[in-house]
Amino acid sequence: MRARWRWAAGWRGLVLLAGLLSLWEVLPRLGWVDPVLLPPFSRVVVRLATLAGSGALWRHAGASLGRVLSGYGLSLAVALPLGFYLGLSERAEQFARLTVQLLRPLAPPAWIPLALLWFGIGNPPAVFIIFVGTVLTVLVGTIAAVRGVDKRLVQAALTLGAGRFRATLEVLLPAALPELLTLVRLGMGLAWMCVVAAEMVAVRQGLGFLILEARNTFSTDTVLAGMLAIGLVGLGLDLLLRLLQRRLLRWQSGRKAYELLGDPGAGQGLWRGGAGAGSHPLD
Amino acid sequence: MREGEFVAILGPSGCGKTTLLQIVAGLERPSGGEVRFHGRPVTGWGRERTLIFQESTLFPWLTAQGNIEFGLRMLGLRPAERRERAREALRWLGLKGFAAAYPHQLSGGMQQRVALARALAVDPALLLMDEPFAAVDAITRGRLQEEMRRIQDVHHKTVLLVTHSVREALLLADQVVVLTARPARVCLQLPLSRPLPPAALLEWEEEIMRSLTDGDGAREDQGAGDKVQGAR
Amino acid sequence: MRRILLVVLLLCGISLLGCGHRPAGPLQIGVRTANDHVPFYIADREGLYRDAGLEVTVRLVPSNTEIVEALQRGDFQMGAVPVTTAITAIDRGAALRIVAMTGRGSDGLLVRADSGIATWEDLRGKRIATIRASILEVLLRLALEEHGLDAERDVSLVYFQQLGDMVSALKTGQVDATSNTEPFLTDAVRQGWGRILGYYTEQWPDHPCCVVLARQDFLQQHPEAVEGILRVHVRSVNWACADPGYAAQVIVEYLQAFDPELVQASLSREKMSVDYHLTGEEIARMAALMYRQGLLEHDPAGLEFVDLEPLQRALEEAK
Repeated sequence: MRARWRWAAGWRGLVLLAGLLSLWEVLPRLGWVDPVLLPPFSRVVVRLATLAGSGALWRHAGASLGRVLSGYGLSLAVALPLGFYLGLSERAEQFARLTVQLLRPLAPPAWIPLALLWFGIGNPPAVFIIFVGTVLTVLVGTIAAVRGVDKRLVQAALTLGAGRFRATLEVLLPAALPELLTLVRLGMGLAWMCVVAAEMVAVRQGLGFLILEARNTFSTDTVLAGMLAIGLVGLGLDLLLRLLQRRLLRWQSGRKAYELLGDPGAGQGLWRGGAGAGSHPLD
Repeated sequence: MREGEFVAILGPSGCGKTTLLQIVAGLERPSGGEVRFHGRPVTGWGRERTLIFQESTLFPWLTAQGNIEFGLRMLGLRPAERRERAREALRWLGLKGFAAAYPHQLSGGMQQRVALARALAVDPALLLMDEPFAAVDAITRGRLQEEMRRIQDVHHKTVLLVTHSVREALLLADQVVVLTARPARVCLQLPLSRPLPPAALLEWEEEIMRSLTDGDGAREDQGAGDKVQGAR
Repeated sequence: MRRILLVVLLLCGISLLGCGHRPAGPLQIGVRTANDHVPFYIADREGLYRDAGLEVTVRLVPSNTEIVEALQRGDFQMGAVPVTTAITAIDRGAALRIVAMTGRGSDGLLVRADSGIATWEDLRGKRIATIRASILEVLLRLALEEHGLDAERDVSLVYFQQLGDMVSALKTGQVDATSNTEPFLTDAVRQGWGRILGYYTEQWPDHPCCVVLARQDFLQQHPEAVEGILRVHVRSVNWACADPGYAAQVIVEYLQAFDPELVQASLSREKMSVDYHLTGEEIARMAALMYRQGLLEHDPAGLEFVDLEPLQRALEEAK
């Protein structure tokens, strides 16, 4: 029962995608959409293949990936510990709150002029923009994750003889881990979305740069190929992180609320002992 | 409380039973009065006053054995010794074979057994239990109560149990304290002699029910009722 | 299943919106905020289109790409963009034609006065800022070639999106030179920190800079309107040439940047010229150069870039 449910889910995902792709192919060819504005899907795929074959795609993707990993890695290194600290210390968080809320709405492109001024050209400003575009979100999320831990778990630890430090490290951290891992995954998606903005500043390679250049030279098929590449790499990263999540959280399970409330007929699977855990897209 | 004594606190919901336990555990501060433990006022938490919750509150990322070993790790025992003590606790509570199970794989009753094993493994001077058997079904509850009684008969631990089951209190306790609704005051204190003769059981049950439904001050008024002497 | 069908229909509906709409009413000409588009500013300011019986709105757009995109969508019927942008767009399949010139020259290489770079040879190993696939890059590569330098190996090209950013980068030392355009070149010199290493007119005298584009279907359907607009264009160009002081004034007014003295200084004959004349040969030459540099996808020999008829007719009428 469970296997069949899973298989059906994958099949459905493909159906929608296939539908959209056929539209993408057919509408420009029929002229219902100006092919100069939206080239057919097949042409975009050919362009992508050409870029891959010439090695250009890998160079660009590698450059962008490097920047994203650096920028996001930096973000995590700063936001996770800081978030833990602020999550635990009410007073410290009060100090920080206003500043964080003021800075958060600033979208990455808004930081470009400052990035150029402070870091010059090339990789540093790009990495900075990715850092700045993700750090506050991860910070706020970490604070929430830390505060969201069931306090009784900590109480149990304390009354079992754990000191403050050990209780934080050995109980609070693992308890917050599921939410933190989801946060890291979502943050990675956010970091990857900053790529185009980050590469608006004087770089010579990168998927964002590829798209920008393609736009300025009116190569819409390259724009779309670049977008496709970005989407695929982002997907790959997400899958990797999801794998990591599953590996680290093997102790998790249990029925999720949405499984009971979501689709009609799905809940019945539960009664028959089917449709278990692990199929949540955000898991 | 005296050492080795099993005290059950009964009272209607919301009268502050849980808060009382939290104060004794050192997790909350009282707004008035004080708690003394081993002659000294309680200022914080510690392993000598272990708390067991209504929801088992096991660490979900650890196996049953891992949970039990947690407190032992905090004590700094060596791995071999930890494993031995944990296995013994598992045996004592009839959990043999479930050592490698994760909490989500265990039933409610099993989880509470593990929680109990976890607490007993660190050998606390005072065991605090907050309606520990309330969240399981009646049959399991009965079994767990029998189990608790058996452990108590052998180990004579000092236990402070909070419950709203009269039967449970009478089954397990050496002394029953009945609290009124908010603001809670002690309205009844019953020393019991074990084993309890069946006739006395019914009698006490009635009396307790009466005082619970009456509300306040039927029998001995022990004053504010928030002064509990610890065992020396 | 029904839900999926609904989504599909919705997407069809949305896609139809992208089918290019033509606004009824006045014709739209998109021009950039740049010196050599001053004929359009003058025409707009003096109401020359109205005098010619045309209903025209001149729209100022800061980005060449956006002008071409608007032309492709049909939001604009005509526009003024750099010649390289026009050639690239046509190479990529846009149904546009170049119908007139609007400016020549005005592009060159800027360095810091104190950098010790006095000749093109001194550029070896240096970083040069430019805008990818623009006239600034095309002419830079030409100039480097003619001075015996390899654009890939002897220098390091750094790509920017904005002219102003390149000037800042040069000033702060992040790059050693920038291929840029007036009035930024003269401005840097006047401020005292910049030196112009050379104008690209040295390599290609009177090279085309910006051109006037028209949608092909507009040309076919309303040739008389195109003629009329070009007649106005000729008038404005002549006006600007005859009275540079006035032209500078208008530029300052429309761009709301730079001061009149600076603009007038940058309009001097050696540096740039406002012009309407256009030949097919010079466009072909530019296209061939771009093709050689790998900027075009198709062999330009097989492409139609120019339609000179409207301009010729406009000039005959003027006689």
